[in-house]
Amino acid sequence: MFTMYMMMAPMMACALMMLNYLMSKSNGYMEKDGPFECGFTSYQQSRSSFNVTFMLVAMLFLPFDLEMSSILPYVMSAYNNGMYGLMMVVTFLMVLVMVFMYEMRLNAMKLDRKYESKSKEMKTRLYS
Amino acid sequence: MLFTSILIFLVLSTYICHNDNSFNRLGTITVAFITLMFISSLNIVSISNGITLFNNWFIFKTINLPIIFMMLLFIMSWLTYSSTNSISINFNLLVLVLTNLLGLMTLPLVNDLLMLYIIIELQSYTLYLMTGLYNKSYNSTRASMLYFMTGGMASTIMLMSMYFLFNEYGTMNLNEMNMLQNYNNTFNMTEMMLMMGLMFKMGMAPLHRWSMSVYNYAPTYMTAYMSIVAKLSMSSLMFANYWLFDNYVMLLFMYMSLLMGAYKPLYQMNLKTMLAYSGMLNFGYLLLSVMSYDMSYYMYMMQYVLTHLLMFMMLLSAGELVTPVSKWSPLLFMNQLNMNNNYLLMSLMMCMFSLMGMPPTPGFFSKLFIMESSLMDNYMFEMMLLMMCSVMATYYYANMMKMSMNSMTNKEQTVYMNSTVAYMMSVTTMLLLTFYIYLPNMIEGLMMMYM
Repeated sequence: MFTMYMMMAPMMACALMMLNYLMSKSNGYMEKDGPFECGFTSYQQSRSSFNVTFMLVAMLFLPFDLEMSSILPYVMSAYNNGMYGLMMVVTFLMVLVMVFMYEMRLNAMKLDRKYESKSKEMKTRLYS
Repeated sequence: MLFTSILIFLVLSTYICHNDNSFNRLGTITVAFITLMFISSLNIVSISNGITLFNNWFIFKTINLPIIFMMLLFIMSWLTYSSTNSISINFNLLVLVLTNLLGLMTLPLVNDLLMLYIIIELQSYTLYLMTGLYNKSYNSTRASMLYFMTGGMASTIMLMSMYFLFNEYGTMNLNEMNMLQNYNNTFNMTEMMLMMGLMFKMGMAPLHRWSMSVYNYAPTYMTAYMSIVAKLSMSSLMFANYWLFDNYVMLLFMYMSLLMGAYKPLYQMNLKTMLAYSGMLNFGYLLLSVMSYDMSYYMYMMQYVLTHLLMFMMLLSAGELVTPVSKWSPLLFMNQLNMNNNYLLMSLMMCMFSLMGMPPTPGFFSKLFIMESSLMDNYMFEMMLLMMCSVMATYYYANMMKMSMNSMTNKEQTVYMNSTVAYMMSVTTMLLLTFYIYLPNMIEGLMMMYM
């Protein structure tokens, strides 16, 4: 059954694409086919650089969120698991606490935009 | 012990001021302690049937012990080099190496398909990160990306084979699958896919193009680590679970690796590419001993780890003597082998003799045992091909020796090397040269390991 699915899904996709190619009219010109830039023609790639902290927040959300969802089953059955379960969850959390300490010490998510120009410092030093 | 040391070093690395690489010496001591604990907790007779750990997900048998021990020794020796001046300072190296060691040590012990996937990913991810650790070098980030892409693809292939294996056998446990396979005589392609994924990760022909690029672009220090360590643990996995893999497909990989490894480097001038191909050739020999399930596997591993360590230590320490090609791989081309220090070249020549298979060096003895065991199992043509490819490989090893002979006319100069590295190199050379003395004792012990 799974092999049937594996064969049918690409065939379906290809069939739809072929149908579009065969049956459609396309009158394309540069304005229509290019990226949309509020009416202006785009001269260059319009991706700009962003602060890496945003990427880090997104990436680090995942393990910490999974940690929270991994603690959930213990929370509901803490009595049934007794001392052994407590020790297990403490070990689990200890590993994650150490990782979190590592992240804090590295200041991984500090978003500072201090921009000092070095030439100003040199000017004051020359005159004083 | 390893796990707690990983965590401790993780936090410690942020609190210590890193002006030099002396932090890694702590790591070397830790690995030494781990080795000591490993040795002291061995009792071969009681482990011979296997102890299963963690809900039958790992099995601790005697088959894997020599390889784990050699990996620990290799990593200790490799880490001692990191405190010299020629290696850039990076405080993440130790944590990554220890995490990789955790993955490497547990990989031969896996007994469950999901555990296999998890541990292989653990081992692979830390290796990808280590390849790109020195991110000042453009080439090393390129190598890391390439390695990640191809390794990810191989892991996907393995995962798909695990789906089919579970479909076939109904259990994830490798031990149970072994027992079920005796009653279930169907030929299926699922185990072939698993082996193909593993061979892809190891860099065996015909899926070896990525490994040549990655080993070339990575800094020499990282190539020294990753070109052997991944292959060691994965081939140990294949040796421990030899019943899972089809002999005929392994034969295909062996043929291709031997032919590629013997023919391709004949036109190379790049030392790292040549050594990468020779690594592929040597692991092709090793596949033959895996197929005949013989003790020659351990012997070949022992001498190959020794030879590899000495070769790369020589390449790294010679980087300070010659005009460097780049900061990350100073000794890259064969014409740079013209250097002032004749003793370094002598150790390189000993390694070359060992790889060629010359009698007093360990390479000869291991090849002899591989040939003997493959003859006993009726692999006649493979043995002859091994001999022929070994002779073909002699050409480029001898070419390296010929290039280094140009330095005989140089004036003698006193060159100062880092004393730690000098000690490691001299001990390794001595072990290499006297291998035939302690070999019979080791054979007696190794016989018990795989029965």
